[in-house]
Amino acid sequence: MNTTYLSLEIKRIVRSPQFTIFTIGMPVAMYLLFGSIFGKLIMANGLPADVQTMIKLAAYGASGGALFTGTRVAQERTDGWQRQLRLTPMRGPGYLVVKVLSAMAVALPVLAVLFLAGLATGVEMTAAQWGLVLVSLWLGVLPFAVLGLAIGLFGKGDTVGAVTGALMMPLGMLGGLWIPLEVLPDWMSTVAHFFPTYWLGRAGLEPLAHQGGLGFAVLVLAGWLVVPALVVVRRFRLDTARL
Amino acid sequence: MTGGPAFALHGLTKWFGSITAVDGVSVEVARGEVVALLGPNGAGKSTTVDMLLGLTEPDAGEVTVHGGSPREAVDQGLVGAMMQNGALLPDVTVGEIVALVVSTHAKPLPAAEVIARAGLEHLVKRRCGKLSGGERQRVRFALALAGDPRLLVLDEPTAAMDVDGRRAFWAAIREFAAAGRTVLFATHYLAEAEDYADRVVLLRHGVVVADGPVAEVRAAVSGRVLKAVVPGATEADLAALPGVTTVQLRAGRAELACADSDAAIRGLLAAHPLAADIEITALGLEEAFLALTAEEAAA
Repeated sequence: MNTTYLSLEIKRIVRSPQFTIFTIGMPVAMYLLFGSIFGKLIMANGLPADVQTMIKLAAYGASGGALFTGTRVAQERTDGWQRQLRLTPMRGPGYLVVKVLSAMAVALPVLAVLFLAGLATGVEMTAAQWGLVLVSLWLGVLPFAVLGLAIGLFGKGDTVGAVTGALMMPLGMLGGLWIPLEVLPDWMSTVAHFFPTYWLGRAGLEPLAHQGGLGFAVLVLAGWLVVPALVVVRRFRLDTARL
Repeated sequence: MTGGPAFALHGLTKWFGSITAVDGVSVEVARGEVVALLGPNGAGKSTTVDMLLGLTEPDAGEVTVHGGSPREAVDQGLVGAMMQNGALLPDVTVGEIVALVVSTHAKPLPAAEVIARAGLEHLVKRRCGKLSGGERQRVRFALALAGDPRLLVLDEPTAAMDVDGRRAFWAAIREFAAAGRTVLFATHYLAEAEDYADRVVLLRHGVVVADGPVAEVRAAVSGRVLKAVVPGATEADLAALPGVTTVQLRAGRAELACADSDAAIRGLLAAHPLAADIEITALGLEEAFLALTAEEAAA
């Protein structure tokens, strides 16, 4: 593993305006807005609204940021950067691993900022709960990093950027991360069950809600990890052969 | 380390659909040679370079670089390459991108030395997206040097450089080659091939049409032009002279392309004693290049 490349990738993501504005700024703003509307109101699952809103918007920010890995990969394909790397001893898998790990690494500060916003506005959890929520959300980001990579290997930079941006809307909305599913029409809540974001939200709430079905959430997210991963491997091989 | 060739191409062939981009190219380059791969656009230079670097698989033929496959040579840092429009990361600084490529090699040059050799000291903190065309070429050159290669492959290296940039660039290449390393550069600038290469490989429609020292390639097109004012002579008269291959007559001034200019001048003076203003010149590489690449139109 090339740690120089990994740290450079992390630096590139963190200093991009995309990261500050969309990945962190937007979910924080949404949390402050929705959090203040619903406050400590107890929702259908018995949890106060502010905790849930914080967890779900943390999930939204971190998964969206990971998905944007694809935009950078697509841009680099358009520019011919992978071809340039083929003139170095670095191999394709090394490149893909750096992309996924950097997406995972930057998810941590995203989650941390949302948690800080929660703390500052009076969200209450036990220390163990804070830790478990962090870990389950963070691990749940992995499928999104790989999914982003899979999307990124199919298009050009600007197209993939637009597609990813457009995708985050239904993923956030219908995945129930923006507003609780209970307030949405029934059909939407049915559709939600097909979205990885819904299961990420469930996994994030599990340390508090004990709704059960954590095993199923893990299974669905694993599916959303394995399928894109197979696409990535296959696509990257073809891509490399053609370059 | 053995003393085999720096690289060898045997019967290298590449088709793109029905077009044969490279057609049976065989070239062997010894270590320490500086070779120009010369040809007009579309001659197959870039495709040949891509196959030499393992970026493109040949449809037929074989490539060996320092005795191994191109990929092995890249992995061992034996070959460094500077590609035409090679990608850089626009949001990354020159210092960062050099450090990154250095980090991929097992036995690299120190980043500071790479920066110095490419003349990038004052640009270390500049983002690649803010560089001029010539500066970007220097960064690509730096990336090619990172692995401390024995063979440097350059595809149209000076295309975006100004005159000073070119001079500085070739000075750096000479320094590199002086240490007994090999350089192959693809170019359509004849002057560069003439000035900097020990040897020229001339490519046309994917075929090697000439290969040898610059002077030899020039001579291969029967090197001289005889110009004179010849009162009363017709084109037919002049074409009949010994050693003359083609004749052009303009406003009383004859221009004779000669396979043997000595025989031609004796014959001219014997038949036309009044011939005046006589001038005999060797063909420059420019003319040799045009003659060789124009052959097909005549054939």
